[in-house]
Amino acid sequence: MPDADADPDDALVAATLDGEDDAFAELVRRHKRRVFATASRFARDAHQLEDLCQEVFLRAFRHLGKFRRDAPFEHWLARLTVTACYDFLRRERRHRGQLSLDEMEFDTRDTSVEAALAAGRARELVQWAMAKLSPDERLILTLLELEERSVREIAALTGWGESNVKVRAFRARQSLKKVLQLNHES
Amino acid sequence: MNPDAQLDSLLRAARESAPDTSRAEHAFETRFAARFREERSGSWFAWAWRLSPFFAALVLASAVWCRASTSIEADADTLLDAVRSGGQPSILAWWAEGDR
Repeated sequence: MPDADADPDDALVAATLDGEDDAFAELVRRHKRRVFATASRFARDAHQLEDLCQEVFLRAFRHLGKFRRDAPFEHWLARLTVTACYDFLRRERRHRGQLSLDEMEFDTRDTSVEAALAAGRARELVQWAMAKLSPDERLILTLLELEERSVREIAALTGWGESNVKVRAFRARQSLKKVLQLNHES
Repeated sequence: MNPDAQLDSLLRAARESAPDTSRAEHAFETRFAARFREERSGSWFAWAWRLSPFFAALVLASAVWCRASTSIEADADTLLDAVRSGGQPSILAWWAEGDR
């Protein structure tokens, strides 16, 4: 008799490892929303988002044999997603393909006063300002401030210690504030 | 408003306007399956390409070994010489021809 409490993901992982591609397709279907939600905070357009999400699931397939079932598959996939996003940010940093964002200018006064109404503009401003930060800073601020993950969760996702996460988050916030102030003054 | 409060309100607004990914998610499985197949078939070629220097070296080594093992026959005057030179065909030749 099958165990009613068994995680359906575990069965799908086992089936994938046995060579059933349909089982992996089902895993993709079940978890794509969460992967897209995280990746969309880093990608600049739909094309990058698609590439990033495909990269996450390709990595998941390649490393599926390393998945130990001591934690839910979702947590393992979240960690892979964060690693892929971090690698993506570092690549972006190297290529420096941020000209379109650098050309944009924002007025921070307008954004903060009308934040509730002009939420779309707030996101653009945050995206523009974050593009000027280092990959570490951007990753940690996105996870902490935009995804509202706890320090403990971020530590588990990134592999950094909790106190390290707190220090990095504080510094990242200072950097972001500085970028916005400079933009406001110019 | 102080900069910290301003930053908080900005981040809150950005958080509340999470990007809508529903269009990008549509038929993602199909597109992913296509790339997945491509990667799989591509990986065979990639492996074959990576292994090609090894196979080339193997062919070269076999050719050298064959040539060396046939060329020592003439020099092998004694059984000990033949064994030292290591070529089995030369040992057989030594036995077949007898002690000269």
